[in-house]
Amino acid sequence: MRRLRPDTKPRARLRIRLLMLFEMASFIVTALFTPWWGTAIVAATLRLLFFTRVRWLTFFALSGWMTAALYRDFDNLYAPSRILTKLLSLNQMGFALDSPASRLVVYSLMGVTGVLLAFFSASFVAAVQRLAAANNLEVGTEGD
Amino acid sequence: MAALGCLISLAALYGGLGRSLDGLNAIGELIAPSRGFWRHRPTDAEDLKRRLAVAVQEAGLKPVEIEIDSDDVPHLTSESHDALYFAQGFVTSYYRLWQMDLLSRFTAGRVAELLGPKAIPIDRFFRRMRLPRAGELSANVMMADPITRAPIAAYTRGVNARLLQLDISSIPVEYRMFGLMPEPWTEDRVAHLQKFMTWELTGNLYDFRMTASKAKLSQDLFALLFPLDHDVPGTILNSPPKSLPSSGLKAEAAKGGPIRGDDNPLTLAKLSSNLNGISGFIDTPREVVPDPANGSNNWALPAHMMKNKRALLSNDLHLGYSLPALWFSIQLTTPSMNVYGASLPGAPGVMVGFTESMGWAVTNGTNDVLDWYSLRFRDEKRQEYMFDDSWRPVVTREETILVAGGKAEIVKTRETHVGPIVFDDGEAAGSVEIPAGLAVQWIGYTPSNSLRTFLLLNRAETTRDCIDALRGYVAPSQNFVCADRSGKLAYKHAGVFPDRKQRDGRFIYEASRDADLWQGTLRPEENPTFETSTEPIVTANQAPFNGPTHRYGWFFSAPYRALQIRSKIDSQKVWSPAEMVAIQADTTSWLASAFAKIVLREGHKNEELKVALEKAPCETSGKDPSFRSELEKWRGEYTPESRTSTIVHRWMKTLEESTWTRIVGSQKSTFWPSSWRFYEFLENDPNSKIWDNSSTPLIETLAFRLGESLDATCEKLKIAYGELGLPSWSDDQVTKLQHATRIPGFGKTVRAGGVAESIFANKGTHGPTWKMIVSFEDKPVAWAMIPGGQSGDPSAPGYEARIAAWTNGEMKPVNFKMREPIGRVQRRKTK
Repeated sequence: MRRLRPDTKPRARLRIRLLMLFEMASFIVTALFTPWWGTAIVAATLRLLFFTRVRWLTFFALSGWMTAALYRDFDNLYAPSRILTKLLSLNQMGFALDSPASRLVVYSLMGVTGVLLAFFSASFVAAVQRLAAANNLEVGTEGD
Repeated sequence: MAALGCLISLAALYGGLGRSLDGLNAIGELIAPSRGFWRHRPTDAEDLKRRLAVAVQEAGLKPVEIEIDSDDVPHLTSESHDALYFAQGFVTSYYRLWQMDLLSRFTAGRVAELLGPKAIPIDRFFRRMRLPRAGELSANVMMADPITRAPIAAYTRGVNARLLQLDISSIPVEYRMFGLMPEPWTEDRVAHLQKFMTWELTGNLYDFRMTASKAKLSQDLFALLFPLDHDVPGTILNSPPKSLPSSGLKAEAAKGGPIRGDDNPLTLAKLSSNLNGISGFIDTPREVVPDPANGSNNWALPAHMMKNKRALLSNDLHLGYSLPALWFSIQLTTPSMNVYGASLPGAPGVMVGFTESMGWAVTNGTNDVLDWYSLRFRDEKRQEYMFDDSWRPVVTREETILVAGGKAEIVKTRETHVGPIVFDDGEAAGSVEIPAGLAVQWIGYTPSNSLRTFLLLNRAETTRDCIDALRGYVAPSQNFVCADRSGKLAYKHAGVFPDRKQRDGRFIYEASRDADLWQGTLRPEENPTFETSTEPIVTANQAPFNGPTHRYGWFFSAPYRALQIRSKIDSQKVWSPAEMVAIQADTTSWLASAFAKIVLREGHKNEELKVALEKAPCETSGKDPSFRSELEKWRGEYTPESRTSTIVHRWMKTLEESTWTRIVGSQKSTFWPSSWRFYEFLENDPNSKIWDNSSTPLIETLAFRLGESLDATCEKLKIAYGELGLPSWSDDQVTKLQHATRIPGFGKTVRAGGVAESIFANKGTHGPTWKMIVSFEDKPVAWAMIPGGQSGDPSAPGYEARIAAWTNGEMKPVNFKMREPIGRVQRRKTK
């Protein structure tokens, strides 16, 4: 993915923004409907196809897992965050059950899991790409 | 290099999130928003109603009305019993599926299928005990009985209808955690629940330790410390029943003088020789050893003791705490039945409760219905044993324990005609509870149908119906107390008890001929029974009567709770039903209160004790009042804040432990004299030889021992709490309501008072699990309480409901619905 700079042309700017939206949506859908390793595969694929930077991928994965967790929690009457608050003993660390703070901690922890998944998988692909470039092999379709 | 690093990171990530650990589902599966916890919906009354209506319709049954009250108690009404029990199975499994699945697996030897390798020792134990077979036999009896067949079948269909509705959002959390799906419910589960309760309440493993105590002590000292059929106050009945079964020991009692019981049990040397090389004892899983405090309180007051002139019934069941609570409150109504009470998740009907005009309450009978026998084996292979002068084969079978997330385990069971040989040598070591190589006889092996009794009680209208329902009741033996609207009260020590003829059942015996084994059973119709409408009845696991009780047992609970209940109900002439709530919450220990008085009596006899009593308790602070003044004020109340309780309790335990360890030996390997016997020495015999250590030149007395043990107690407290100072009672005895599977975070720790000897018999991990008070007015007025909510779903808002109220000793008024308006019932009855 190209960087957005002041001199980036409007058309390219739009294309980059659409791609960012697409990538973020991919992570949300992936987190909502695929097993945990789905995020790793999506991160690796996006890196491979669009050379999206690892930092962006991890940010998108973070938003993907947090949004998905938030949605599932609302949809299930806050039962999920209640279970995790208890299992992680957050309620014994001063985060009251069902409090916004305890929920935020739980969603954040989910986000961190998404970050880890995306970071390691995308970093792995990035490293492979660098190795390939060093050996004049073609990997991916677009440079960054 | 970077690629390698990332590869390692990926592998670590997969290792962290993708692998199952210790039988649990992979963490990635559990936390992914697409599945696991994030798809879990909590149990919800409206959802239940919708789902039940669909299930009943699909099953083609008559309609079931369901109303769920503000305490989440379902009230089920139907014209058909089939539909009603179907709905009970459905509703109970909606809230408690994991719990009922788990509880009904113990005696089936199938816990490892849920919990993984950690549970193998539990399954091995119950399979070696041959309880799966015992469960099967009882299931056959239940399904052949018209009283129980239809309810069990309907209940089973109800549970299975619920299972068919399970989807990704409604699978109980625990199944998600273990990565499992519930299997179809089967009718034999009820029989396994019955066996589980029978084991919990009668699986006492005391004989070996008692044999060791007998071997250690001289005959006179043993008779002094372990008197058989010893008179104690506060028994349930004042005198033995007229029809007391005859025995050689009864004749001995009739002649006067102390009853010594068996003087010639198997010696340890003979036992060792019979075992033919077996040396070790088997490490019994802690989970399978019943808590000796499994018991309860119940009492019934006649109408003349009540302000409303109606009989009253009270009950609290003391068992291990768990979340969700062991019992599930429910009301079941059909045109011919209307019952409210505590149901056991997994079984149809109500186990303890009341109908529109009658109620029943239970406490454990605390009887000895289990004996170990030594057989003479032919050789070290132990494949044959001598019986009736011929060699008989030991039947060996192989069974497979399936293990969630692990390899299946083959377990060998060994059986003789006497009973199973539970463990063999070399399998494990370390515990004395189950001696290796011995065969066991247990009343629980009798194919039986206790559910029949409870289902009949669910329809009973009078105390006569109650007594009739107890005919044929086998196990677990219980003290049933019933009361009805007409003011009648009834008591029955119900169960089947082995007839040991000349033996008292306290020791391990050699079995080489039939006469060595149980000679049938005592006649149940001769069991202690009592009917009255004028006297109160109080049972708290104490001896049923004074006199030769050994035919029924020899380790009845000390009567502290019974004496405390008696003293409470005698303290006032008439009572209102609501005042009974306070009695149920009483945290006073009769024993501790008596101990404090004994300390004050002995205080001046020993210089060290005298000095210690004049200082602050355990010298905590110079500003605190003296220990003596604290003890003078203290009435034995184990309130959560009390620090005196902490010291006195530990002091009593230290004194008891040091006394019996010195005389009898470690509690791990010997059986100690009863708590009541110890109290008798404290109260009546301050100069007894039990206080003296003959190896010292001094003659030690109780006063000396009190001073010595107080020092030791304070020292222990200092080591345990150091700078924190003297802990309050609720800090010293921490009350934990643990999750049924001990999943951290799903339990709850509370600050509660009470002690094993108080009416509110809280022991920290064990205590009142169902509390009930019923006054038989035209419409029963009742209060009830369980520690925890109705829902077993840790994410449901009601999961921890009632815990705070339970901790404070409160009880909730029961919303009992009559079948017809009271006026109409009265008119019908007067016609």
